[in-house]
Amino acid sequence: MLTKTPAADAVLPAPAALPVQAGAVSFARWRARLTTLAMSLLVGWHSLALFVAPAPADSTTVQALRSVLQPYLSLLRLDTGWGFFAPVGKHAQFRYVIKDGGGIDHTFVPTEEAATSIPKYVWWREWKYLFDGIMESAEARASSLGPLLCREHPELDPLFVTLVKIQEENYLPDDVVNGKRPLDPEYATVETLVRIPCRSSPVQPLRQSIRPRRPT
Amino acid sequence: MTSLATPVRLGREALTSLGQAWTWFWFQECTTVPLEVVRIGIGALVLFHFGMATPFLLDLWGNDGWMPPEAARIYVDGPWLQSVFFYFTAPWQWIAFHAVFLFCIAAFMVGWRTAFVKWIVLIGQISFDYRNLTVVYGVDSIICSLLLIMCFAPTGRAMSLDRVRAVRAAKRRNLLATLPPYASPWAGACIRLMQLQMAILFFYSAVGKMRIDEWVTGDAIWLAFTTYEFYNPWLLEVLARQYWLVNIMTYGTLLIEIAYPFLIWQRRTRPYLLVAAIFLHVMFIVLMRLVYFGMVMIFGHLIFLRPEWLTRWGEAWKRSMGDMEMIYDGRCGFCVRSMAWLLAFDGLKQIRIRNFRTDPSPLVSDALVEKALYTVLPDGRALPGFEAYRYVVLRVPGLWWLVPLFYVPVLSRLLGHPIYNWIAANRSRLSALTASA
Repeated sequence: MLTKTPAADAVLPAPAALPVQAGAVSFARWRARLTTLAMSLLVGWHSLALFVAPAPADSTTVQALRSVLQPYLSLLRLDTGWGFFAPVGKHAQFRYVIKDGGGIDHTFVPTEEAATSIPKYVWWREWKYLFDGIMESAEARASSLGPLLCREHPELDPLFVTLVKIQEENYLPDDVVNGKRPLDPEYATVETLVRIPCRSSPVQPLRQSIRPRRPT
Repeated sequence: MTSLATPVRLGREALTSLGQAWTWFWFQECTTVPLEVVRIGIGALVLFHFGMATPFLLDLWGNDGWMPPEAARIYVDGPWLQSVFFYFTAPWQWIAFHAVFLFCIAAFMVGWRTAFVKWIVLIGQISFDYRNLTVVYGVDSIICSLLLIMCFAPTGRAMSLDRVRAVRAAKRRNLLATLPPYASPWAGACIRLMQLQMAILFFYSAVGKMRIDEWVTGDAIWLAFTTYEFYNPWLLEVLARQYWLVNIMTYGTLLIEIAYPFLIWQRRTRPYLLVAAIFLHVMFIVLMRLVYFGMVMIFGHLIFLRPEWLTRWGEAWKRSMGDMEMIYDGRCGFCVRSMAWLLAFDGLKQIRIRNFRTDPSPLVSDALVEKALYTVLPDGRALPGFEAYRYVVLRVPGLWWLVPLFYVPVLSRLLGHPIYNWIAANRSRLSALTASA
């Protein structure tokens, strides 16, 4: 049979302290519960955003969820489809032609220029995407691009700069075996996008598509 | 009553099981080590990438560059797509922000004031992206997603200067003190979130490809390598003559991407899927020169590293390096503080210490240790002073950042020995100076 010893008395809490301790335990338990609830809400919300962001937008459920999640997705740059290389498709190369003071054309292919510095080498792809963007909205951006490109070549005394898009076409294994390259004239369509005067005068939009004939 | 009690009991049990499963999936107590591996890797990559962008700062993001604000706003749809650059007017503001951004990425990478700088890194990355959406691609989205989770997470609690500072503070009071590794259910939840992010990314990437003809017919890799962007004459020559390789590469990519989100979770299959995903991205780096993208993805996949694997690798490293004992002068305050600093970087606890004043070494006489600190190697040899440090910095991963300083041919020893000898000779004076400071 257990008997109460003086030592046991000494470690027992005073009666007045009991409600305080019970309150503290209860508070700690509630705090833990609330913390878990907050953490659960955050992981649940973020997981939902991760699933919804790339989901096809034609579903009504996705549209409904998007209406709630959109600010979160946009503000934190989570709104992406993760569609890498889907499709791979055919690409286009950006070129520009400067007509110099003597009336001679000089063609420049920025993505094929040798990188003259490590930053240029590292940021090649980003510049390539920038040029892709220019090709998409050449006319809208002509007024700001013209002066930039003309300023790049002051030694030519430029009169006009013409933006050109080289669209890739089908290129088959036999073409490789025959020693051809993907951007050889017979595998590409040349599209003149816009002609911009280097000295202040209006931009001249051009939309003529020139497709070189493939040799037979 | 009994007819109602059974469904109530079943409902309660189901809810309890659901709660337990939820807690088991999300809130397992875990160290932050996998998150720190991702932090260091992503931090280094973003620092290098944006460091290299410095010459193009005003060209790509400035108001008078290739993307004037009115052109940039064409791509920015809605009020939630914000960039600090839209509010800048003078070039010095771009330069100042970029300098702060680079500094914060460096701090994020080394884990200095991580709780604070990680948010600036996220804001900077989003600002750069939204200011010029034509130069961003998949990798920038991945970085934003991973950075956001790292902002939520308690990063910087391991493998960081924050951790070093905490350990050093404890060791300055008592060199033998150890600080237990940080672990919490929230760290486990954030690791899980990042894992989920990587799995979802691969899942949607695979689903997107499966809806495209060129992937279904097995020709996608051919198309990729025939664009001028990824043109590789040597590889095309091989693929043109052995076209079946194109099919294998196309379907192999699809297989890895579709298997990853399902099999990466299982204990047995995780190593294989991890190796396959890393192999896939190494191929992107080698064959398509997608270095930044490939490296970011590889570091993203490392979130699936199990902490026990890292512990095992750490133990294996310790075994291969052998035992190291540093003998120091416990009466010299400067020496004790130096030891606290050195030991704070020894996350694997490879270094044993001995204060020769209270515990004399059987291998090195007190008279020798009076003159310099000694490191006793596993084979019983003892290296004094500068050589002792030189030996240690190469073998303790936390001190590898000192290797360039200690291993410059000729120069390191030429300068290191006299500097060390001067410090050792003047340690009493230095102790008094640093103690008063």
